[in-house]
Amino acid sequence: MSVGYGAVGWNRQKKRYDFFLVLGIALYLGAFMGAGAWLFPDVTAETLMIRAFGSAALILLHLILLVGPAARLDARFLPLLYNRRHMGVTMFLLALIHGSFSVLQFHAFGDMDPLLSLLTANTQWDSVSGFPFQQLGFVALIIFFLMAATSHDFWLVNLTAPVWKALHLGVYVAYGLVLAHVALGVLQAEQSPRLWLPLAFGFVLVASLHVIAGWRERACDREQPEEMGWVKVCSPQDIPNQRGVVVTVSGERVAVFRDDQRIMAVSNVCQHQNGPLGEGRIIDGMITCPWHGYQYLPENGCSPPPFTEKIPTFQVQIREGSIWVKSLPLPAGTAVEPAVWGGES
Amino acid sequence: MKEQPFYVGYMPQMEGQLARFIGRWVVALLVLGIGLGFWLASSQTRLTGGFFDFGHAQSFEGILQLEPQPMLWVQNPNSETRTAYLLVAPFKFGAGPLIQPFDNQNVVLQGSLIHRHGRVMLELVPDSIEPRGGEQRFAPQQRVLGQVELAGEIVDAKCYLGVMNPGHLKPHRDCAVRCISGGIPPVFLVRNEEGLADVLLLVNQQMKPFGPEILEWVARPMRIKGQLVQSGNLWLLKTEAVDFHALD
Ligand code: HEM
Ligand code: FES
Repeated sequence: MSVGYGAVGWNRQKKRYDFFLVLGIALYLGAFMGAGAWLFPDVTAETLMIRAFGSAALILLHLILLVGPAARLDARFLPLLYNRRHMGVTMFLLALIHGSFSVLQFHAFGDMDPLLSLLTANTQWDSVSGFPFQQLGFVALIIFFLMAATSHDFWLVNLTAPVWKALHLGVYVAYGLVLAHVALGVLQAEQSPRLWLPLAFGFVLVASLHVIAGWRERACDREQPEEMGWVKVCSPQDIPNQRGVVVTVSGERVAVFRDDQRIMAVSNVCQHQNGPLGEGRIIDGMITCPWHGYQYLPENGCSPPPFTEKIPTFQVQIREGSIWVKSLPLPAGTAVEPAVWGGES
Repeated sequence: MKEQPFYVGYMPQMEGQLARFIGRWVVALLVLGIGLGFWLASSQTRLTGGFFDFGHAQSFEGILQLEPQPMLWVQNPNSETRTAYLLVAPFKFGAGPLIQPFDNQNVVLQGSLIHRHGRVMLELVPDSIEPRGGEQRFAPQQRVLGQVELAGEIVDAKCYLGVMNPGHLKPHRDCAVRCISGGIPPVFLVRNEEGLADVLLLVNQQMKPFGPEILEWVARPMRIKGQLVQSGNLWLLKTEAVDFHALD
């Protein structure tokens, strides 16, 4: 919820979230560098640092990409999603340490500016095994930087949601670049299946969870046929009390909620970060977003004062035991009379 | 529809069943993190050999030679023979400019040892060279061992012999380019039948260092045709870029 863009403040859950995030990273780095130094006494500390931080960033990136679809498939994962932004910024910092150490180690203290060297030392673009892999990591790091720098809700508001969303979809481009960075880089020298199998497994896991979650969503994207400007949704008893269902009306996802006898419909898209409102609940009479808990009054799509978010609303009717939704949305924040259902709640 | 707990981040306390679910996942992820750390670290394979006595310089006396690459010929104990120590400057630079004024002179200098499998190199402390009297100029015995064609990889001698580990192959390519471009001697790394590596100092037909034309070949699998020359304890591969053949 935001006045301006103050958004989600600090609280105890967030502190615990960050504590476990940092603890996990510290345990990983400690295990990697400890085992590396013990097993390979000849290795240099710089190599261990570069490898530990690079791989930590990549593992965290997998986690970031997995919690989204996991939470769509099982709402119990939502608490992991709640503070995903900190995971993202932390992942960027790990990658930044990895990249900076790499530039220092491989490019600095020589006869050329280190950044120029990063871009020009290898230009074998027409080869697979010789492909310039460091530049791929560099581009990915720039994308992560832009995402981390604009992760605050200030930017969400000022860049507008569609631009922000598009920018943050860049994570998939960056993920692809990092996979190539590793496959064409270190895996050209370290060819143990113990290294490339986990990487391939991670990719398959990310891809398949996204496909499954997307497929589930597609199922609800089946357009309901329109009759005279109205669309039939389902019968009221199909919606658990204080919950919603998502239907696609004229290509837009609409969340239809039931609060006891009252039936109301709003846009499914949360104004905060496009969270799926239809997967939320009605708490204290307000639709509550499953992602970060922004709230909207179901009868007019407005956040309660002092907040100012507004979402489009839809007219609703009950005819012959079925809910019907008008296919054209009303302007965001328009009050609508809820349809009243006579049945048992 | 099964009633699932609904959690909003700003609620102070998670409901018990959900808290247990998340708690179990958090513990599983922490354990996975430690496990992955050990697993990935122990899966590395190319991290052995090479030594750099970083920050610890010692005195060496010998005769300096600028070409084919900067080196110091140090007298072996109780013998007339000498051993060549390749010389490099700190960071990614060759020692050429530092030793040029002392070419073919007997000197004492300070350097940090770099070595791998009996191949030795010194990182010269700048401005530490002091001329000494005694025998000046040394011509090592040279034996031409004939035409060869060998498969291997061009690396910079400094990183490979010990400053970086790993100091060869693809991940190290850009660094080797920078080092060779800065004047560190390029060597050809050849694996023999037993898998042990030989390093051959690359020189052109005039027995001089290669120029920038070598950079695009660095750290790639390749074959080189050339003349193998033994010069004291060093092995040289005398060749030209036209005799380089890519294997990638
Ligand atoms: C300026 C940006 C970057 C540079 C210069 C860079 C450079 C490098 C280099 C030289 C290596 C091979 C090092 C070695 O192990 O010998 C490497 C490996 C790796 N990089 Fe990057 N990288 C950059 C960005 C990234 C980013 C953004 C990520 C991902 C989150 C990443 C993840 C990895 C991973 C997982 C490895 C394999 C582990 C390793 O070998 O260190 N890198 N990178
Ligand atoms: S509260 Fe963040 S997306 Fe809805």
